[in-house]
Amino acid sequence: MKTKSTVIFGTLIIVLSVSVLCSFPRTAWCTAAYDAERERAFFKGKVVTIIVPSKVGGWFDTWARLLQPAFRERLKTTVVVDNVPGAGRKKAMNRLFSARPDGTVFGVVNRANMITEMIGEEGVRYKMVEFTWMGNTSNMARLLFVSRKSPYKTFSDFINYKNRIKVGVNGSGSVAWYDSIILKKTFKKDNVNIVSAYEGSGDIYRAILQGEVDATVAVENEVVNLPPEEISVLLQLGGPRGYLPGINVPRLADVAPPDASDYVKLLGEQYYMARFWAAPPKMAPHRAKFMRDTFEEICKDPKFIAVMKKAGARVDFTRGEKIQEMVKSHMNQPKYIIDLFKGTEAH
Amino acid sequence: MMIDAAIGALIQIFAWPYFGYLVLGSFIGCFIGFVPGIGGYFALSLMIPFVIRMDPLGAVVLILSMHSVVTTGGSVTACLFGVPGSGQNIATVFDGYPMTQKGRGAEAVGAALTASALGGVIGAFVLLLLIPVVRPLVLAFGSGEFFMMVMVGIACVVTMATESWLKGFVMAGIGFMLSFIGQDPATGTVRFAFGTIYLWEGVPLAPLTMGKVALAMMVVMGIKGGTVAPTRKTEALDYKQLFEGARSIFTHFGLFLRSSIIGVVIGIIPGLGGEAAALIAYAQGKQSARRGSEFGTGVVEGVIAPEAANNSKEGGVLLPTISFGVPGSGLMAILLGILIMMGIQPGSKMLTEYLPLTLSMAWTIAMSNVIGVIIMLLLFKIFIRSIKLPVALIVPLIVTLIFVGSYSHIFEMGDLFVTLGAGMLGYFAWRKQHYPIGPFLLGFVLGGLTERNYRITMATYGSSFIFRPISFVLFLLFLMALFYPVFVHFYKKKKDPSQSAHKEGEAPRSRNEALIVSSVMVLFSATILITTLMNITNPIARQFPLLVSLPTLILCLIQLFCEIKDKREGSLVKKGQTAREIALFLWFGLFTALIWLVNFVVAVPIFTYLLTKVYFKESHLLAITTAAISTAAIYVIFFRMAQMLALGTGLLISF
Repeated sequence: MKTKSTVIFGTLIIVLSVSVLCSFPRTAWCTAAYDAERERAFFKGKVVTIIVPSKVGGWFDTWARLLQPAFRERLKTTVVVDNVPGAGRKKAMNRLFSARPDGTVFGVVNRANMITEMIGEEGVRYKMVEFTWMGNTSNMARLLFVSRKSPYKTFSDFINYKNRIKVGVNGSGSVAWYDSIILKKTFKKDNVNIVSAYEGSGDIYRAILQGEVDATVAVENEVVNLPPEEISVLLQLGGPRGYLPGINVPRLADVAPPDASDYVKLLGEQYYMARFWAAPPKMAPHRAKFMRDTFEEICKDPKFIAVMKKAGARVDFTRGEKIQEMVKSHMNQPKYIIDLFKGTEAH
Repeated sequence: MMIDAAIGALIQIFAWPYFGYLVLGSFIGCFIGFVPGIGGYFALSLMIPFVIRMDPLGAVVLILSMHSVVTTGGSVTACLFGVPGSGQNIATVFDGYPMTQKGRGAEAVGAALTASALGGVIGAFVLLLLIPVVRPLVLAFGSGEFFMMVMVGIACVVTMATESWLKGFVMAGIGFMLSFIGQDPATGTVRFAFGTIYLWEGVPLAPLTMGKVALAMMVVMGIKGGTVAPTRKTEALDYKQLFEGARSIFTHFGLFLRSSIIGVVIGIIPGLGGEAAALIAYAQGKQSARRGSEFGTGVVEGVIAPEAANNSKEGGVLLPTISFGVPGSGLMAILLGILIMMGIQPGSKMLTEYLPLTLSMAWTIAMSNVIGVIIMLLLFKIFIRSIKLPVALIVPLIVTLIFVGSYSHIFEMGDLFVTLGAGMLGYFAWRKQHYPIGPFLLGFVLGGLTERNYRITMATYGSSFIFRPISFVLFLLFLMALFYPVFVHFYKKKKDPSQSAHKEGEAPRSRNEALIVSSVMVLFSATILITTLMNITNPIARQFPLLVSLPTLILCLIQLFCEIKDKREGSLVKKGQTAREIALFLWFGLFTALIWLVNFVVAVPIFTYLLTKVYFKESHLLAITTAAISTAAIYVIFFRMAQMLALGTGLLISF
């Protein structure tokens, strides 16, 4: 009797242990080998949602809408774009973070949301390091530019200018806002005033041409389309030297003072995070691999590259595994940088 | 050379397939505008996957033709049902619907359609004329000039409030305070969100206007019962009125032209939008038209002014969009996005390399306005017959569309609460207690823009901006807009003291309701003031809220005191009417709860059937018909075609 109950009890323990272990998605010995076709078959009849943290019409939205048909073709299912603007993009991030991690939901992440998490802003219900990163689809430098009519012909003129310099940015909490604060701190420019609340890069550009503000920081694919006879690029933030055709200006890394290495690193990392994509946390390893492979396949497809080139965007793919590591490093900023973003200049 | 290019562009859009796109886009735009709740924004975003596969000219013709006539379609709904088909048709409701109630709906529609068509054509021609000088023109207007233009718009509050200064300024203050809710763009400070992330972006415009105007009108209709409008005697009379309405544009040509120009000018200011254009044009019409004092009672001039402006503004809106890539409206932002996807960068190249495309845009706006009106006239018979339908069929259907329209904004339950709350404010304050709605809408629409442009102006120019030439001229216009209506009002009253503030057809005053409404406004103003003083520490972020909430609270208290002192009770207050009004709002609340619990697709048939059967006490057959039509509309158009899958998500049931 005793032996019988021991055997039954032992068997139950073993069965329970196996089932518990198998329910953990990352237990390799319990899962079958990776099979791309099986992963693709999962999506049959399902709807895949691409979350975009802005309204229809911006650059994030453009990327999502151009990726939409590419994913539809490869997953052979309905793919929709879900615009979730609001609360400084936190609504979209929160929604993405709490969605099902089965590959049916992924979205584009704005790196400004890393800063909002770092400074512990109200309403943040996500953790960047826990997202399942799909990849980064475009590396883009940010460029400091001024009007051709301005008194600054070089970056050195700009840095040595003694009078008030007005830098135009769109709302507080935008990437340009944080870039401007970092630049101000890097070069210890107390005469730089950040003028926010513009409606977008087009509005700031108008303001620069009118002389209303003196400078701004914008992403490369917006700047390279501006008439060169009207604007003058002074500084490149991030990216390798001389990679932008027709733009031969110093990089921040070349001109920053030695004590600003943390700022330089911060802005340099941002070069690689122009369009990065994430899925909810705790995605099964096979599913994550399949989604990353699909992203990579799309980004290497000449047809897709041509479509993006036509839209004025470069495609450079960095896999999610590398982005995962980069994000961990990026989120680990020294306290004084986090305090800078929290401080009165930031808000 | 420019003329050759313009003629070439015109010929091109009449060639196939572009003419086909023009007609198709105009038809879709009219349909979208006519059906409340769909909205041009939603429709444009639906078209994106199709248009990015087209050639640039085809895409632009389709998108712009669709976009340009949304307000044309919406004007018909505004006139016949008192429900603005799009936000820009709000002001059309003020006189269009009263005209329908008086049996002159066809005349209102005729005037609205003709004003829309010709206003759109004028806007397009102004765009064509200004293309060679667009860049220097846009560069002449900086943040200081934008600020002063917005202030001129705000001064129109005075004109809108002439029937009751106190109530008008109270409503303007309430509108302003609502516009401050959310994240301050200059400092990032979150204001008056009361711990909810939903309110970080502020109170959304579409759900607010849907509630305040459309839902309130549904309550009016629901209480009245019967058919939407008095039944017409003969169809021939309808057509006679239609042509009378069309002809009225020419008998009031000065008003029409002024309104069209106002629309174009306002379109140039980024972010101001069609709502502001229509409201400001309405205000100037009220000020300048011979029957201005009758605006709001159902005069055709009150339809001509806003409709001319909200179509002509399309020409103005394109100017900053194409020249600098500054979208003049949310819809223009979508157009910009589409152009970028097709490899066309908005900016100076639109005036050089892509000039033929730019000229085609102008012609598309002009032609689509004409084609849109032709389409609506062809469907006129259907429209005019629909106002003979029973209210029990129309109200549940339109309420469903209102709720879907509000919810489809960002698929948050908060939007439905905003619609419900705004509906109560709109009904009890506007319809019953005669608080003018124009100042409220102007305050809400312009409040955020005022603050934004003021901040930028102070940071860049300082107070010396007022001495810039254009700013100075606008400042003088502002003073004129502020004081001239006051002077004219008192002059007219002195000449004819018998002028009455009471409007024909409005509900009689209930003293208890008056006290409640005033008290709610006092409470709201006090909440904003106290929250500002206690919770907002950033001096920049608290500046505007303090500037507005303190005087508004004082005015609200004075208004409350006046209501307490006024012991009159309207002798025509119908017994049991208040109970029916509250019951209807409870039904809407039940609908909201059902949506949350079981999702839209399931809630709609339940709500529409029960509302028709239980509240309106109609037959089983009519209740089922209403439920079937409403459900089919939601399921087919929104859930399936538009892929609004969030409509199928509820707490208990999702699919």
